[in-house]
Amino acid sequence: MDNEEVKNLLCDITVSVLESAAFLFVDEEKMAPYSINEIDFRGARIQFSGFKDGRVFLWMTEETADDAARNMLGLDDDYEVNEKQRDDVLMEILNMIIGNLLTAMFGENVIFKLSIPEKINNEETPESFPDTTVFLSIDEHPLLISIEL
Amino acid sequence: MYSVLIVDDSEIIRSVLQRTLSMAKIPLSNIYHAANGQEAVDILDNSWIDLVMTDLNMPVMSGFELIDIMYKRNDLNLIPIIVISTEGSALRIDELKDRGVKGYLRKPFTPESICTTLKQIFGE
Repeated sequence: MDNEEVKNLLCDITVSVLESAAFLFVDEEKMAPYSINEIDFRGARIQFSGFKDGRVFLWMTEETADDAARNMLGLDDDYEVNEKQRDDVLMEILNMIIGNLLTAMFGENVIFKLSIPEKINNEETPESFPDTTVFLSIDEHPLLISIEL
Repeated sequence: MYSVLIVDDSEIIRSVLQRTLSMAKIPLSNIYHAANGQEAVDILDNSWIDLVMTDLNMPVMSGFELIDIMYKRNDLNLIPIIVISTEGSALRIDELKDRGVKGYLRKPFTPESICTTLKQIFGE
């Protein structure tokens, strides 16, 4: 599977997970890469090992994390999401993406060990993203998902 | 009336499952929450539980370890377990079924799939 195929699969699965788990609808037009310095992202990563080893990263804005948390919990727009809930929703969405991605990429007959998702500090967010990064947008807020194999 | 134990390190997922259970029209007496397998074992040691719904990938004690402990203990191995996880390996699912797991649901789940599985287990 080349980088383009991996990105397409990553994109499809991310869109599907965001829609079905968090009722967030990704804009059709994908955003072009932009400077990381312009956006205040929240990030998380998860490692996998076994049949293949690698890592998957997810970055989203606070606004997107708040919308996802409110939608999943069935709460009103004026509910104030707390820090713990923001991190929780970010890591849970990443967890769902990676589980579905690994099955789609490698089939059901292999076993992977997944790490516990962890939050990425702002200082650890790279200035440029790997070739296998998908740039998406939700209500004009950027969302990035990336895999390292 | 049934008592259900929800085991997931995500508080949001536990809340979503609790809300789904409340809508499933199954008579419930208590819904307990645990953030990992160890907390679940502590609750199982002290409370009557009719069903365990557990994630697999959790800190402190994973769902695999929890299922293994329940399988080996005579006082716990008849409690039905539903696994709700992102894990998609057929080999892993077979392994879990051999350990007595009665249902398997993949995240992201729908409320309907949870209700269907619950009704199969409780026979209603």
